[in-house]
Amino acid sequence: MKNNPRVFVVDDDASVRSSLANLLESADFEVEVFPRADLYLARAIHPGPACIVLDVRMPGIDGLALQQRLAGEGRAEQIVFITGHGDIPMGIRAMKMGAIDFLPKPFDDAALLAAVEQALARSAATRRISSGQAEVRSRLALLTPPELEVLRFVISGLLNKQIAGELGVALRTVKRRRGSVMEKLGVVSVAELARLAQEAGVRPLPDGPKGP
Amino acid sequence: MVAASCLTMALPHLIIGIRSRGARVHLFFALGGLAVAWVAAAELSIMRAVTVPQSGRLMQMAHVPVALLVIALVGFVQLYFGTGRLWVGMAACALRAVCLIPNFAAPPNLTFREITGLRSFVFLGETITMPLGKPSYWLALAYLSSLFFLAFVIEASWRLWRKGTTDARRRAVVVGGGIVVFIVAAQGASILINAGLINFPFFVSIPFMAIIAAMGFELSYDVVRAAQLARALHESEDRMSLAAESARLSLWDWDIDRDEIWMTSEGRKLLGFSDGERISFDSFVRRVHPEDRASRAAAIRQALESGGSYEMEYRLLRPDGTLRWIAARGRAANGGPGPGKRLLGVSMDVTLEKQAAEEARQQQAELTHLGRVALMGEMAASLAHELNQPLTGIVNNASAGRRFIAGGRADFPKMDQLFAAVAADGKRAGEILRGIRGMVRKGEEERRPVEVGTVIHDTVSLAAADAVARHCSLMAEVEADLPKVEADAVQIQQVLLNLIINACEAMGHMPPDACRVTIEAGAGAGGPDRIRISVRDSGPGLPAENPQGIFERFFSTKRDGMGMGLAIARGIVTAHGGELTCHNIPGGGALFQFSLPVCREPQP
Repeated sequence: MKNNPRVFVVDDDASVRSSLANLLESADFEVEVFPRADLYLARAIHPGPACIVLDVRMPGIDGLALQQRLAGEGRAEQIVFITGHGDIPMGIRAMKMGAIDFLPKPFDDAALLAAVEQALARSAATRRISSGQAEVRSRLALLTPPELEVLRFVISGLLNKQIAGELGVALRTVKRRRGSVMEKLGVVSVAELARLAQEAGVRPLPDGPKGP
Repeated sequence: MVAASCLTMALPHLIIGIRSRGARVHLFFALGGLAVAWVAAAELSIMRAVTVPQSGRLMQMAHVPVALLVIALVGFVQLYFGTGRLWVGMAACALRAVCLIPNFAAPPNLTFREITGLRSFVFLGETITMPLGKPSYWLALAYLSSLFFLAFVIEASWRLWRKGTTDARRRAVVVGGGIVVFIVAAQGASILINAGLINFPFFVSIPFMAIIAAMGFELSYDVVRAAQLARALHESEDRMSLAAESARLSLWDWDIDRDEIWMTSEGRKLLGFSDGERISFDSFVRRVHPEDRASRAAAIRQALESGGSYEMEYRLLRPDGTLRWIAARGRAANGGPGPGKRLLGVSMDVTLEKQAAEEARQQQAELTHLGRVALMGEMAASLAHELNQPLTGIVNNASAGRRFIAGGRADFPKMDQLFAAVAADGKRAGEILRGIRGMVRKGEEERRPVEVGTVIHDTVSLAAADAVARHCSLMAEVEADLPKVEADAVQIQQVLLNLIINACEAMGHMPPDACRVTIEAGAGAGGPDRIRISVRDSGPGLPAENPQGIFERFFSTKRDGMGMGLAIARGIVTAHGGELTCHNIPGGGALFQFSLPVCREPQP
């Protein structure tokens, strides 16, 4: 299936590459192998959960450079590093950058498979979160500019009356716009509204509430 | 008195002449002295003669020593001056000898056709007689002989004078001039006496004695000088033997006809011969190491056949079982007159030098080995990485197999594929280990026919991991169909590894895709019998200041570098008869280059 979880192996060493493919297949993973990082980048982004079993040291773009690149693009693949001779600083750097694991070659099959499982799970979660974010964003897009303005006042904690004062409009108008926002975003409480707005990156008004 | 003094002068020279070869001049001198003594005795008897026939007979006898004297003088001048025209002298001798025929055949003698009487007169208080008569016609023959003789002596003296040395000129004047003056005097006196113009006894012997004295003076001078020379020779021999001893030189002289080898005591000591023990060629050869006998014999034979010299090194196996290295130099020489050939030579004990050279070689080998070990140490991380790849393959494939089996999905083709991969990875790991062991192993240097392409390929695969770690790409460009080279493969790998790793390090601060190292091999440069190998990088190039300093020991741009790598690499290349050179490439980067000798015999 197109959206199935998939494991990508990127390693310049042919025997490591093919043996990893064998191991992953034996554990019923879908596998694709690439001898070079640039060839992986050239592939279309996999729509389902994805894990890269990535060699650190490679000619051309190496593992750490690929990790940086993917993070920069906000992609959902999770990375399990494998290395023939990894040092601790390199491992720490990789882990800080969000790698699932950093396994020295040769590694235990269970350890690798566990790391791959974990990576795919996190990839799926990330994908879910980001797909949720996308939904909220699309709903926010429905708001009219006055409604968005009211939303930003609401999440900064101002009362309707205060908002009306700030905007110089009638209280009734504020109430109507607020109701419209709740309806369009599909929430029933202010708390829910605040979480959603934060998730979607809507900031409260920059100068915050003014004193009464 | 004259006879006595002439005999006194003659006798020592007679002994010298008889005892030493090549001293025939002394024999002629002795003959001259004896002849003059005889002449003197004859003159005395003529003066005492009382009857005409007696006087005639005595005079007849006196001509024999005169002829002998002429022969002696001609021989002496010829040998002593070495400048005369022999035929002129021989003519004088022959004429004088011919004179003896009428002397005895036509009485009374050569001087007189007929003796008419005896004159008596008092000379120095004694009454003496002299014959009177008509001169013989044959006397002309004697005068002619004298003329020839004078011509011979004058010309020989003149030529000797022309030689210009003080010695030659003195001889010419004393001997040559003496002979001429006194012969003219003697001849003139006898003409005047025979003609009866003056009343004087025959005293031919006195000027003759003067001649003999002059000759004797010169010869004695020679004898004195010979003594001086002998002393000088002795001193020089002393000095020579001191020098030879200090230089641990042994001198020897092989008389081939007698098969006897004379040798300095130093040499006897070296070879283990006791003083006075006779040394023959064979007894010498027995001391030579069996493996070196044939080559030594060949060198000597060649020198003897060509009359030239030889130079060689061989080992001595002494009676006490110790081994000594000898550097010998010999020269064929003709031993004076005759066919007797000799071989002169000098031998030198070079055992210490050999040992020092061997030690230096071993130290160099050890240093080279240490360099390799250090190089492998530098590459340890990369090599571990390289070794981990096939191990990872093995572990993964084995684990996969077990999982397939556990899951009940193990089919034969799948299992076969897994096992084949495991086996291949196992072999690969073995090869990597072999490569490392070859570099670290402490083996003797070994020159053998080597494929340049194989060495380069092995080196590149050994260095590949390190190059990848440094973001460098390695390229090998080897010309097709290159002949094999005569080299130590491990050492050449060491040189290449050094150059490759240096190149990678030099490009450490450059963007990854700009770091390229190219290893090239091709025929050409350095002659048709050498293969050129170069390592080129795209880095910053050699240091602008003193670029050749990189080859010096302890030169290093690395923080933890020993600075021996390039010095050792250059040593290896030099030992292979090449030169490791470097220069910057116009487009950027450095180029290191060296060459290796092509195998002489084409390899199958």
